[in-house]
Amino acid sequence: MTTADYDNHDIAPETASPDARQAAELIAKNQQLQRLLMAQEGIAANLRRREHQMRLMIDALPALVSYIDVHHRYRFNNYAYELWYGLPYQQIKGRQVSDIVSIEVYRKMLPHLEQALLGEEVTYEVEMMRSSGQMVWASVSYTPDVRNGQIKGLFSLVNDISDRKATERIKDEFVSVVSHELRTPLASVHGALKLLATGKLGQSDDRGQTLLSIALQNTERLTRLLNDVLDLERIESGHLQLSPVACNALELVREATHAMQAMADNHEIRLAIAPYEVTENNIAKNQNSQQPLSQSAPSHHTLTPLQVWADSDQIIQTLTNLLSNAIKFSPKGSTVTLQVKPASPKSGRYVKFLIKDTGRGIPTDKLETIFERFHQVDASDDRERGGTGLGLAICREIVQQHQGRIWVKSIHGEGSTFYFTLPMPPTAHA
Amino acid sequence: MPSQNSLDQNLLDQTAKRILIIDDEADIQTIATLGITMTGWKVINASSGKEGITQAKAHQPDAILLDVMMPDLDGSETALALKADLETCNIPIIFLTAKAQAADRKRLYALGAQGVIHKPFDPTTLASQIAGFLGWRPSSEQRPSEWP
Repeated sequence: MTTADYDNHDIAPETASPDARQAAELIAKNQQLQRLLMAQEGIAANLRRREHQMRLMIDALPALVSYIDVHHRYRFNNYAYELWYGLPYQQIKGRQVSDIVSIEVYRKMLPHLEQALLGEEVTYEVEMMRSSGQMVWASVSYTPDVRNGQIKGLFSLVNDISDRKATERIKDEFVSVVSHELRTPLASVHGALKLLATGKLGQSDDRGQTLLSIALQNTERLTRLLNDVLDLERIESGHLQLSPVACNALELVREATHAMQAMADNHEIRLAIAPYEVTENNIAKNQNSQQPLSQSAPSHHTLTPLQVWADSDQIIQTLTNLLSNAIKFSPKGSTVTLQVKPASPKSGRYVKFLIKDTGRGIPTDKLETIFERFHQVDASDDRERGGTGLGLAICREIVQQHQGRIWVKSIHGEGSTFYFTLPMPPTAHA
Repeated sequence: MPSQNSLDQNLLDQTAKRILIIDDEADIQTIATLGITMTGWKVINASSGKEGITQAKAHQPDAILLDVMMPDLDGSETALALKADLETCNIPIIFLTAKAQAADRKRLYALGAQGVIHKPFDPTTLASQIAGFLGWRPSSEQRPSEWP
């Protein structure tokens, strides 16, 4: 008897002898096993096919893809790696990262590798050498491989960004050349008009004086626009060179108000700085709620030197932009008030700056959009007051690059208060 | 507050100063020269870094107003050459530049400059700005009002 006989449903197993029944069972189990084996082989073949397809896709990628274990050894790399380093797969797999890249590059990579192997996703840029000897800029991303709560290694993705860097360099040079090539003739036009306006080179009649005044104002407006456009481009492209240090917040405000005093005088506006008052009330408000109110808290008003971690030039530019707006839109004889104070403890260690005016205010639907480029409350009115429409966009970029926030509260017809926050210095620098 | 259209002659040291202006742009030379000579000071002109070094040695001006972006020897190279030469190392230099970033200013001061004036500049106050940088007049600062 063969297994084929028992595939034939004419045979009734219950009529067979015990030995025959046992043999039939064994044959059935054998058939079942064979079917399982065939299924597993099919699955394995599928898996091999899929792995091969994945490998083809990963090898076709221009980016360098690899897997690095917790001992900084390559466990997998794609074909792009072989092209980049001029080494076959077998000579990369199992080797330490420090054996493959140069010692200089490894030193730059090390802190990021360690950070990723602690479980963080990391992205950074580094200059690396290819097998051809050419140095290229690369963007590197590490994704930790976490299984059952344990870090087994990381997936690495490296992209050649030398084209992007070259474009940025060309753009920087263009901005630098444009900056010079536009500013120089503007300097000539502006300077000539200024000298004519003195009247010492011959007096003009009233119409001549009016025309001179129009020409001068518009050259100054062009200059402001050029400065703002170049500033904004530099900030948005990430080329703003921030050099933060611990700064006295009140001193920043004083410097900005000093710089704007002449404009305030011309508009008959008073600039006032309200110091942050240390009183029993606001010690309790700003202290950790678990700490008791100090018995020795001063009851008189004193100045508390608040420090911020900031690039002073950029913050003074922010303050002067905000002051310029406040002065321009305030009625004659009114006061623009500035203040610095600690921000709410729940927002972290931040200092809040405010500039309050009693001007015409801002409609509610424009409180967010006024921080965008060329969005003004009333474009024609702002043109008369010499605005470029970029000042607040520049302020927002500067504050955000300092990890701060900027916003405005306003009552239309009554005035506005612009706020921005800056972080306090890291504890080691405070 | 003095009008912006008037030349603030009263604040200037009355001893006539001699300023060497080094700039390759003829129009800027004309405007800067007019603005400075209107105060009674004298001006020597040079249209390149190389010519400027020669003029500085020959005339020993009281100060040099030096443009940054010039062909051949640029402002930075000219300043380094002036500072390296015993005959000219003590002549104060004030840069004239279209670049207004803090990093640019720091770089120019690191070259030994005593002042940086940005373009476009006001020719009617150019002399008093130079005087201010070099301490040739008393400062007249005003402070914003503060709560008592």
